[in-house]
Amino acid sequence: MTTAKNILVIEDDENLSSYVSASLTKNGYRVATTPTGRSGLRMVSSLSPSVILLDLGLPDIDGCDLLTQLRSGSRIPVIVISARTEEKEKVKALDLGADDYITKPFGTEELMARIRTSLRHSGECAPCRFYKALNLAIDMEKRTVHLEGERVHLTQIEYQILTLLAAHSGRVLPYDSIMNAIWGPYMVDNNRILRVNMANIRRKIEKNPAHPEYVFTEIGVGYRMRENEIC
Amino acid sequence: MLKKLLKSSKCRRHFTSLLIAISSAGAAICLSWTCRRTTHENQINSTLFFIFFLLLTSCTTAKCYYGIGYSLLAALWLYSGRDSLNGIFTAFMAMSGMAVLTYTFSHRTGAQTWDPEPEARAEAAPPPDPAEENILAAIPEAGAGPEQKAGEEGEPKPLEGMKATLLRAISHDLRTPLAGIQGNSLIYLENKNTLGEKERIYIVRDIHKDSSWLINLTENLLAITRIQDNDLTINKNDELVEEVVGEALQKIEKRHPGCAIQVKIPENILILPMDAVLIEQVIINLLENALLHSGSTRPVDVTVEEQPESVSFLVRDYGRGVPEELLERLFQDPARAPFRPLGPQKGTGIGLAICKTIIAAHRGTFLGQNCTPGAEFLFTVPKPWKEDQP
Repeated sequence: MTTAKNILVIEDDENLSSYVSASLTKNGYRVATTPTGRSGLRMVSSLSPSVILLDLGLPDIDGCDLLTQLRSGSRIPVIVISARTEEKEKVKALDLGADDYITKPFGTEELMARIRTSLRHSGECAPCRFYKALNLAIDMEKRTVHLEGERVHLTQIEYQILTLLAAHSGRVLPYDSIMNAIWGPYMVDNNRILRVNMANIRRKIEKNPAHPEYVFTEIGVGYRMRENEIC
Repeated sequence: MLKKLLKSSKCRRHFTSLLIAISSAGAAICLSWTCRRTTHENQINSTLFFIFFLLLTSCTTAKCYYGIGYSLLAALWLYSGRDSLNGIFTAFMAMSGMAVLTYTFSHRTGAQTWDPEPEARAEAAPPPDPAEENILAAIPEAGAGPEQKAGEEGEPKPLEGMKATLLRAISHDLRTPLAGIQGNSLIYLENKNTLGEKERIYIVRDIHKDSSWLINLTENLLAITRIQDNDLTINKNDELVEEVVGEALQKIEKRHPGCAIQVKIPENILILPMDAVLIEQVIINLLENALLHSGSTRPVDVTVEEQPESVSFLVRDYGRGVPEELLERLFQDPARAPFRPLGPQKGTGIGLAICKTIIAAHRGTFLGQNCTPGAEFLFTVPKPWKEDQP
């Protein structure tokens, strides 16, 4: 890393904010913190951070409103810090333009992985044409999938789902956005077809479908693929 | 203005205490006089008494009875050091007279801080054990109340009151780890210069352990809030069994890195109507119990099987088993409260009781038994067609 990346933390809880900023600083990021949404918005324009960590429960502005305001002006990746375990809240935040979310309480490792992923996906490098993690390799130019060196045969839909997830590896993709991308906007409002396809993909690439290594389920929200190791 | 001041309870309390102080002092002087020794030494003693009592009572302005207790002790101490039994006797008489006086007075003035258990409180620092036990004993009784009532009405509703009882138990269980965290952090803050590196790590590790446990408990609490209050209805969606099991494993592995769990699941795709978050919580609770309390490092088995009318989930460990008492309370005696915090294995009972509630809300069955070695817990979630056409 040549220059340290700026990260803005908008979080009203002092303890959590100092924990986050300490662990980020230790990992070589420059951190600015603010406890309110209003000052957060000002700091976004003055600091132009690489990633914003945003708590949804702020004292002055509702987190979702703030997210809408942020999104109206910029494409800076926003990772939502959520105390809410309700899946609907997470889906709402993702729909409003958040890149990812992290649920309290979280560990340093999880936070760093999310930030790495967001930085990678913020468009600073060209979309990756290869995916590799553990024993799984996907070549999106040749349209091949290999598991432990053996070719895996997927249907057209299965391949599309897998490459979509691989292109956003490390990030959660909500059911609806996958449905939209694969089947288009006029599909019935039922994600059963996606999940059956997913079950089939799992049977082809995972050793144990109930103990996945590549595609993880975030119940009620969507799927998250293991981080790409080569991009 | 003065009237207003006098009316405020704080003022009244101070007034009472002052009166106690004066009467204590008076009694002290009387005592010295009774001893009929008018030497110079005794005059000093009386003055000392006066100051001593005044100090004591003002120290304990809010609790008048402490003052009396301390005065009594002080007087006994002083007099037993001197000569005769006579002195002790007079002191005792004077003090009891004074106690009666202050009692009447404090009641007449309406002193707000009447303390019914002066002795227990006067022991101060660590909260006395008996009180703790009382609370423990009170919970199951309180919990059993609504269930028994339901039984009397002729329509047994074992689920009614279950949620409220659980919430009560959880709130109680919250206190233990919180006290641990508070105590440990206080030790750290107060002795940070004298603690060795090793001790510091122990303290922080304990804080971490307690807080992790609290987080776990909070997840359980949140899970229960998803269940509707009275009829225990839940929000069911069609879910893939493997995804629910998979996410539960993912979470437990994050919490216990390197834990050994073996999962067996049927090859065909199983879709069940359920509240995935709740079923996930059941699996997490069962696995957490197996990992933390079984005392065995042999991998825990999770086996999912398809039955004709349901899907069964089995969690089996190979450790020391579950206390029979707990199993009995959970499974054999539905009339009694389904749990009580069990000392050394904190949280086990609550976790299982929550599992039972969640499975009951899914209209499934929940069983647990000890095997040799270890314990197994089995729950089933009914298949949709069975439930839709009862």
